Amino acid sequence: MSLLAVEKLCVSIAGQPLVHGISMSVERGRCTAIIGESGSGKSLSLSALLGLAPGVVATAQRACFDQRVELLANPEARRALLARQIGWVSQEPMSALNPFKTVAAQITEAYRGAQPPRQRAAQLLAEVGIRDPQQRLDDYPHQFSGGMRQRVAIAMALVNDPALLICDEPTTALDVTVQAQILALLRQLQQQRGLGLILVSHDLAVVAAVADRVHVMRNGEFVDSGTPAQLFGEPAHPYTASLVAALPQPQQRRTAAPTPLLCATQLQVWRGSGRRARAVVDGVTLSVARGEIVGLVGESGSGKSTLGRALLGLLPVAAGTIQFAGQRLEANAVTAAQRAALQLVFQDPLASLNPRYSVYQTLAEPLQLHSRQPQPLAQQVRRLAADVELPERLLQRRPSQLSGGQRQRAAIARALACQPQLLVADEAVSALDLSVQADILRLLQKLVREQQLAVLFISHDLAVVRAIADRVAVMCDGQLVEQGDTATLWNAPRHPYSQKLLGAVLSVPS
Amino acid sequence: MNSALLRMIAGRLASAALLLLLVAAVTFALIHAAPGGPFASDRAVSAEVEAALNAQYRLDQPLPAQFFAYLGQALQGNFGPSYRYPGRTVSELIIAGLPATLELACYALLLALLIGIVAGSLAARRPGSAADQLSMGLALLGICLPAFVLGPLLVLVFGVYLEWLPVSGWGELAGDKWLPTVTLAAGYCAYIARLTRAGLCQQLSQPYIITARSKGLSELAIIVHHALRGALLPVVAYLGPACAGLIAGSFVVETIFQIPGIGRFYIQAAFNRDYTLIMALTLFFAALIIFFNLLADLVALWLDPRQREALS
Repeated sequence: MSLLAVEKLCVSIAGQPLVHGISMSVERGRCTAIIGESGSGKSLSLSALLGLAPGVVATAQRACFDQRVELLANPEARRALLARQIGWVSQEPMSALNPFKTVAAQITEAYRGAQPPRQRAAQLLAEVGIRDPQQRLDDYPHQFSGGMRQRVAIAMALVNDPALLICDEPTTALDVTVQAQILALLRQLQQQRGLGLILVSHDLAVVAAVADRVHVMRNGEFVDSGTPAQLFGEPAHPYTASLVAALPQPQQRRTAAPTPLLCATQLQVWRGSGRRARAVVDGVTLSVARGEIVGLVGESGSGKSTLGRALLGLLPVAAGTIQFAGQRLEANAVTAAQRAALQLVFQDPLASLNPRYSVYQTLAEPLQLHSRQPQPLAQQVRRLAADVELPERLLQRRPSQLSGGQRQRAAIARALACQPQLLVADEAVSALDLSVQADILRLLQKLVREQQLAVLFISHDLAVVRAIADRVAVMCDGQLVEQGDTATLWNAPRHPYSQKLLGAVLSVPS
Repeated sequence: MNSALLRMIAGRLASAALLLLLVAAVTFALIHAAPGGPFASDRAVSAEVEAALNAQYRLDQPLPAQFFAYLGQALQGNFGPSYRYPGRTVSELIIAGLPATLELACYALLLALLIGIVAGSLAARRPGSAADQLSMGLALLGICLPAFVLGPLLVLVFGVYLEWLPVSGWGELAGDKWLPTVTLAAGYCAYIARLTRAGLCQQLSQPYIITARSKGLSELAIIVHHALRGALLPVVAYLGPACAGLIAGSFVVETIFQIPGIGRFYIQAAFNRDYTLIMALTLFFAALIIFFNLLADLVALWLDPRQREALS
């Protein structure tokens, strides 16, 4: 007997059909997952089913909850179900909570049970693994980290002991160790309470770890369905196969130049001011050579980004030295040549590219400043676009008119326009779909090979780092706890923190 | 947290004192730079009489001496005698006019807040709908129509043609407070409606609204309990200067409706070169603006936990 049965669900926005008749069901105590790339319509289907997205028209032959309530025919009954029986966890942990209300107020807002509300809130916070729940009841969302906010969101969805929980990318933005805890929590709830779970994700490993049944979604349709073992073990449909093939695969190590291009010794960087000042990077010694990709991994808040920016001379250093190409690098005295040679690629190109510049303008600007080549500017821009495999017809577009992958290519091209020697890629592929991510990783490797770039690759995604990095440094609380050859570190991590981090990595069964 | 708040308030008060000193100096310089004086009226007064008057009010002393003498007295709460209302002190005049002005400002503020927030919320519920276009059209009208046009218009319609409400006065006839209140509130109401609508539209597009919807809350509960708080932040920021403006800027309405408030004194004092009255009223209004801006910032801190965090 299925808890939720959906047949031929169609969704359209402003008359444009986006989801074309998908059918799925979920039973008590089971998990059904939908995977697919961004824009495939997976989140849209579910939010339309629950009436969460305004301006969306949804129709279905049948969308029945617990054999009783037709969800689409009866909005009032659906709202009553949302209040009691159906929990929903949003995709965006950073912005899914109301910034103006305490977490206790938000958790218990829709609570209908008999317990005192604060007691219920504390109990739920404890259940989702938040330490000292009593002390945190009156905290506001901004006082929690991303992972903690996601847990609060889950606690909120569980407040009335729902029968069905719908999670939209519940772990995408989280560190692997937190992800492992949240997935364990979801599994436990499933078993203890007979919770039915619908999981939306683009992460094959997460889906493989939790789901009983998987639907592969593309362009508003389910193209493939089955158990995770069937789907990922021997993918029958070519699209599923291409998703599996796009998973990051471990690579052969490149041979790097013997002398390091960038060499940091006993680096210490402070952030904050007054009483809140603390060393975010403390005693880090790290080097990167030409033609080498060094991976920097660690959980959020460990100081990876701060270290990356300090190595580029963007942040003042409290102690220690940075040598770049044989010269001392100082944040307050970076020469123009050094600035051009040290470039950064950000996680979110939409935020880091000027929204009012076309790609052409974005690329032409640094070329005008730094380029010493004789060719006309337009020709240089086109060659740059070709280097990052960005079609020439996209040069006149603005960032908002590009896809995520195209945007990231433009951001990489912008960094390359300065003819850098060292590139720091800070979570540069974290926001991208799997297939796009694979393309960008291939591009980076090609650039390293052809232009003898040195790359510091910062990521919380260990599978990606394993696929691309020659050496890996593990960062924890501002210190490098371990560094070494990628394969060696993966096979035999020595430091307990590295062991914990690598132990939390999920993989797709093959 | 609390010590940080106290530090912030103390800092603001210190800068307020400095600001008031500056306002006093500039006003003093300006009124003395303007031609004429309190006793240089068109009635022919003999030179001896004028000299005697000037000496009585110490207007014959050098300007810096006058200024510091004034400051010294003002600090003790003595704002001097009015030059044009013989026998009455400036403080007496202000205290006599203040109740009517404050009452008018309070009514206008309440009316503007009530109608502005409700209309803005209705408009934001369905952007582009008839309710939205109607209320935003009216708001535009409210912003465009100055009080000296709207006031007589209302008097003409409701006082003269329909004879529903008295055409002027304050607290003398039943219902005579309606027209001045509406006239003064209209512009503020329109701004509040537009700010509320813009703030709500922005908040309603945030992901946390979807979370609220997923709890099965009604649309009304979502607006009232979730979106309105964030949406009101810009309104609160606007209310700081607006409250001061309601009190200081009511002279047009007071003149139209013959209301015995302090606004009317301000105009008359400027024309009469009533130096002490100008000084006292200017300082009073400056203090009001500073006070209400501080109050608005404190309300914003109370509304927004992230601002509280940033403070400490």
